[in-house]
Amino acid sequence: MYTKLVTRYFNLSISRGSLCLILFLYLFCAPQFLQAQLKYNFEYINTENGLPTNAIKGLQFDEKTRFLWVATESGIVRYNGHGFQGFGDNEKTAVLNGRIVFFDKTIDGKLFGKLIDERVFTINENNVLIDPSIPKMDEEFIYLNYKYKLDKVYTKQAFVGIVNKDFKLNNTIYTINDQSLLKYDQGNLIPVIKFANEEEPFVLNDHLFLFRKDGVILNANFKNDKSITSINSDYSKILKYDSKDIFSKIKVFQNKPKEPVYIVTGKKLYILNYVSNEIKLNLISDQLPKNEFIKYVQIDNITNTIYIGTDNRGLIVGRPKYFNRVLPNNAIVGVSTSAYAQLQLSNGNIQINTGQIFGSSKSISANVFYRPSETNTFISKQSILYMTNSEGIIEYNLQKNKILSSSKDIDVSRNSFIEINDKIYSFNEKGVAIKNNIWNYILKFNQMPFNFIVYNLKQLNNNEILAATTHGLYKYKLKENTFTLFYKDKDNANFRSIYNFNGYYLIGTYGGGVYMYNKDSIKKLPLDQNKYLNYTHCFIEDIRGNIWASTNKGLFMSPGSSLIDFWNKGPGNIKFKYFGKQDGIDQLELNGGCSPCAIKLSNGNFSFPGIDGLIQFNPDSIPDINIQPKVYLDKLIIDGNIVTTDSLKYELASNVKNVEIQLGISGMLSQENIMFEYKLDNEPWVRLNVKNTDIKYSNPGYGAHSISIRLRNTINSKWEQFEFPFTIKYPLTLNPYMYLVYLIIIVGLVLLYIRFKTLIYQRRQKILEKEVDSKTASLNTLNEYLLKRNQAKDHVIAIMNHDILTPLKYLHITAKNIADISKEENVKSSITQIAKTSKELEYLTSNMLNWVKFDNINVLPNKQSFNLFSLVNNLIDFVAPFKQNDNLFIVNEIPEDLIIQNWPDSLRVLLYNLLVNGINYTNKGQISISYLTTQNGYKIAVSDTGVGMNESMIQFLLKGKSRDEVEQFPKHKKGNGVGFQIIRNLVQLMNATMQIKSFENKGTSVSITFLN
Amino acid sequence: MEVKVLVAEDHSIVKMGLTAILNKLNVQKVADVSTCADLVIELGTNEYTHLILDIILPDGNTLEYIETITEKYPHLSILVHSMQPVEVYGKISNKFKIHSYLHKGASESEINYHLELFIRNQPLVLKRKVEEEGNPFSTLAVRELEILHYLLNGYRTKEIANSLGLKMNTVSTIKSNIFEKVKADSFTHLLQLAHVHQISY
Repeated sequence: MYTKLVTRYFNLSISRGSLCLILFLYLFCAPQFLQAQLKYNFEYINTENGLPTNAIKGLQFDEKTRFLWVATESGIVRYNGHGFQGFGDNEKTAVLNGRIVFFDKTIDGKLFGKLIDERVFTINENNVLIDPSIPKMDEEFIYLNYKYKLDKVYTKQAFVGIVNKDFKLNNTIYTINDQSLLKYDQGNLIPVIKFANEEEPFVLNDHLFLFRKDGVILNANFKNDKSITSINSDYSKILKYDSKDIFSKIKVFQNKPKEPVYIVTGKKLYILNYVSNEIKLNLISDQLPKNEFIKYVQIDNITNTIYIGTDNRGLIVGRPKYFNRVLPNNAIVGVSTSAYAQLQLSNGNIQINTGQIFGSSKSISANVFYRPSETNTFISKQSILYMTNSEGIIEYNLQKNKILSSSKDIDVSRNSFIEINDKIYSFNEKGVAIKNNIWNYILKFNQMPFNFIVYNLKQLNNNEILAATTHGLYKYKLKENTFTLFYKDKDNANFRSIYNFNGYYLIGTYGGGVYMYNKDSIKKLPLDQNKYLNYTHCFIEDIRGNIWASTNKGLFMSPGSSLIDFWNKGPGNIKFKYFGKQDGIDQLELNGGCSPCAIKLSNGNFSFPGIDGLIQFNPDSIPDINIQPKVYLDKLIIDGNIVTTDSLKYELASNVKNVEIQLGISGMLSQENIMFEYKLDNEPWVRLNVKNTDIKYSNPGYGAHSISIRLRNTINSKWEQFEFPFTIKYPLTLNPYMYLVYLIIIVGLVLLYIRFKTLIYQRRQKILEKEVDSKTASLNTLNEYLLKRNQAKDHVIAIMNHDILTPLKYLHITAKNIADISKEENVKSSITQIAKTSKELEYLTSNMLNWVKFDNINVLPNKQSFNLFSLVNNLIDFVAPFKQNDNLFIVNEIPEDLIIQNWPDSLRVLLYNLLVNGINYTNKGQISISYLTTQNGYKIAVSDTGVGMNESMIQFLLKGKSRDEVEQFPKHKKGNGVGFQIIRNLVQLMNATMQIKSFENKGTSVSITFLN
Repeated sequence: MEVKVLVAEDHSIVKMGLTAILNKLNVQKVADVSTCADLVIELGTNEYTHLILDIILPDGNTLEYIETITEKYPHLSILVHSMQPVEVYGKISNKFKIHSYLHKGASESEINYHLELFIRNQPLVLKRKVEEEGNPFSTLAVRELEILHYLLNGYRTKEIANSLGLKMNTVSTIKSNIFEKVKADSFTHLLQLAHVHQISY
C-alpha cells in the first residue's frame, strides 16, 4: 500500500528532471530519510463528540466489521466514523459504562476486555456481551488461558496481564515482569532474560525484538534458550533520542504478534518492517498532534486512517488529507479572499478577479486583474482575456501581458463572453453584442426581467448557444438572431454554470439542483440525501472520467459513465462520492456564478474557488476505495422495553404495538457517503440519515411482518439489503384455529336457536291446535246448526214449491172455474176475487222462490241455445192472468225464429218480473217485448204505456237504495221491491246491463243489454 | 168409451182444480187418490181410461209403479203431472208408455191445452225443446232418479236395497253413479244441488 502511494506521489508531484536524484537519495538513504507518504487531517474526537470520557483505556479496530472499539474509563463504546454507540443502557449492562481495566484481543482475533468487577466482556460483531461462561480474570493464568486458548497453564504468579506485555512465540507463552522476560513452562514461570532497561518487546516475522528506549532495537535469539541479544539497528538518531530526557518520548506499539508495529516519537508515526534480517522504519505521518500522551495506535489499512488513543484527550482520528485550502500569501488588505474567476499566472500562482494572488511562488508575474473585475472572464483562442471592470470591457493579451483595449461601447457592468467563429460575443442584461472594431449590439432584448444576469455560455452546435441566466436556460440562435427561454426551474432557481461533458451538458443551479441537457432535452438529476447538490456551482472532469462538482457544502465526484447511464436508463442510483471536512476540506463553502469556475492547473491539480480561498487537490491521488457499509441490529425495543436482539426469531405477543429497531452502520464512511433506506412490509422505501437509524414500526398488526433495510456506499450503485422479519402472534380470539371454534359455536348457537324456536313453535302449535280444535268444534257445531238451518230453509223452499205454489195455482184455476159457473153475482164476485188473489199469491210465492234461488248463487251455468220468441210467448201466457183489464195488450215483438245463447231459466225469470212490473203499472195500452241487435250483442226491451217513473225511482230500480230511501218512494199496490231486486241480481249474474227510460204518465222502457 | 180419469194427487186443491178443468172438458167421471197405496188399490178396483199421476206422494215415489201400471193396464193413458223439472223427469215419457209429462209450473193455458189433448188421447206436440243442459240431474236415468229420491230422503243403502228389492252392491253402484253424474262430493252437496235444481223429494 505504501509503496504504491510512494510511486503515485512521486509521479504526480515531482518533476521528471529531479526524479533521478530523488530516487538516488531514496535508495541510499532509506530507511533513515523516508518521507511521510500522505498528508493527514487530524480530528479530535472527545466528549464533545459523544466519547464518554477522554481517558482511553484501549483501542481496537475490527477490520472485519470496520468498527473502532474504544475502551475508556467510562466504558466501552463503538465508533463507526460518524458517531458512538454505548452499551451500558440497562441495569444488567451498566457495568459496561464503568472503567475498562484492559482491552485486548485473543490469539484468534476475538476482542475482549476486563471490567472493573473482573468480569470479561467480548465483542460480538456489533455488540458487547458480558460472557458469564468466562471466569473472572482475577488470576493471570485465567487471562492467559483465555487469550491464548490454553488449557493447562496454571501458575501462582500474580496477575500482571497488561496489553503488549505478553506474547506467544514458537508455541511458548512469554510475559514480561519487572524488567524480566519470563516464559511459561508446565505451569511455572521461568525467567529468560533480565532487561537492563525498560525494553518493549515486539514480534515481527517470528522474531522477538526488544525496543530500547534509546532507539536501539535488540534481536532476541532463543534458539538455544539462552539470553543472547545483539544490537540489530540503532535508530536513535532517526528517532531523535534525547538521553537527557528522562521521559523518553519514543514509544512502540503492537497489539499482538504478527500485527503491525508502530513507533511514535514526537509528531512522527512509523511502521516497522522486518525485511532481509533488517528492521526498517517507514514514516506514515510526521504531522501527529504535538504533546499528546499517545497510548494506543490503530491504522485502517484500507483507508489509511490513523486512530490514536490518548491518555487524557480522547480519540484522535487522522484521515488522509487530499484537499488543501490555499489562501493568499500576501493578502491585499481590504480585498476579499472570497474567490471567483481564477487565472493561473506564469509563475504558477493564481490571481482571482478581485486581484488577490494565491500561491507560494515569489517570482515576478503579470498583474492581470490590475483592478477588481466582474466574476465572468473569458480567454479566447488568441489568449486574449476578456473581463469587465470599472473601465468597461477590457481585452488583455496574456501572452504579451498587456492591455489591448478598454471599451465602454456597451455600458454594462457585467458581460458573459463566448467565442464563436473567431468572434467574441458578449451577453448581458441588455442584449447580445459582438466585437468588430467596436462592440455593437446585434440583438437588443425587449423586456428582460429585473436583475437579469447571464452567468455562463456554451456553444451547442453551429447555430445554438445555451445561456445559463438568473431566469432560466436560454437559447441564442445565431442564424435567427433570437434569444428565447428554453427551460425554467419550477422554483425559479438561477442557472449559473454549464459544463460540456462529451455532448452532455451539466448545468448547475443555485437552489434547483443539477440538470443534464442533451439534444434539446433536459433532465434533473436526483439529489444527494443531504441535498447539498441543490446549490451546485461548477463542474470539471478529471483524467479518469470523473466529474467533480462544487457545492455550498463541499465537493462531489461522480463517474461520468454513471451520469450518462442516468440519462440513458432513467432514474437509478447515480454513483457519487462526497468530500468534506473529514477529507481535509476545512472550508466547505465553495463559490460559483463565475467564469471560469473550477480550473485545472498546470500541475494537474484542480482549483475550485471558495468563500475563503481556493480548494486545490490532485484528483488522481485520491484512491478508489469502495467500502460496502453494513448494518447491524444494535437494539430491539418492544413497546419501550429493550429486549435481546434474537427476540425477533420468536413470535411476539399479540398485544405488541411498537417494534423499534436501532441499527449500527459500519464502514467508517462519512454519513454523506452512505445511502440508507428502510421500508415496512410492502410500503415504499423511506430514506434516512445514517445518524438516525432508529426505525419504529407502530401498530403492525397481527401476522408476519418485515422491516427491510438497504444501504449502499454512494460510489457503488448496488444496494445491500437486510431483512428483519418478525411475527406478531394472533390473539387467541383471532387464531385461525379459532375460526373453526367460532364456526362450531355459531353452528351450535344456530342449532340451539332453531331448537328453541322449534320448542316455541311446537308449544305455540299445540296451543293453536287446541284453539283450532276448539274452533273446529265450534265451527262444526255452527256448521251443523247452519246445515240444519239450510236444510230447513231448503225444505221450506221445497214445501213452498210443492205444497204452496202448486195449490195456489190450482186454487186459482178452481176458483176461476167456480166463478165461471156461478150464477150468483155476490158469490161470483167473491170467488173471482179469490181466484185473483190466489194468482197474485202464486206470483209472489214464485218470485220469492226465484229471489231466494238467484240471491244465493254467484255464477250461472253454461249458456244454452233456445228460441226467444217461444219463451216470451210462454211468459205472456203465464202473466196474462195478472192483467188488470182487457184494455192492456201484451205484444211479442220478438222474431219468431230467433235463437239466442242465454240462460233460459234466468232470462225467463228476468222477463217475467219485467212483464209483471209492466202489467202492475199499466192500466191500458200495451206492453211490448222487443229484440234489437247491438254492436257487441243484443238488447231485449220491455216497454209499457203505463204511469211511468220519475228519475229517483229509476235510480232506485237501477241501483237499489236503503230501506229508508225505499220508503220515500210512492207506494203502488203491486210494488214490494222483490221484482227489481231479482232483476238487478240477474242482470249482474248474466253480465248484462240495464237501462230504464221512463216518462211519467207516458210509459217506461226497460232494456237489458247482453254481450255475445 | 166413456172417459174415466183417476187423479193421483195428494193436494186436494190441485185435485179440485184438475177436476174443474176436466169437467170443462166434459169429463164427468173423475176419481182421485192421495197415496201410492190407494192408487194401486183404486186401479185394481175400478177401471179407468186416464191416469193423472203426481210423482211424489206422501207414501212414496210413483216412478216405482209406472212400469208395473203400464204393464198391468196397457190401455190406461197416463199423464205425469209433477213439480219435478221436466228436463229431469220428462224422460219417463220416453221410457214408459205414458202420454206426457205436464209440469205443475206450466201456465194455465198450457195446462188446459195439455189436458185437452190427454183426454182426447191426442198426442202432444212439444212446442219447445226440453232444455236439459245446465241441470246435472237431467243426466240421471230413471232408475237413478228412483234411488235419488231415496237418497234425498235420507235412506241408507241397505234400506234402499230392501225397499226396491235390489242388491246392496247395485244400489251402491247406482249411488256412485249419481254422485259422479251430478258432480256432488257429499250428501250435503247433493242435497244443495237438488234444491238449486228444484228436485223435490
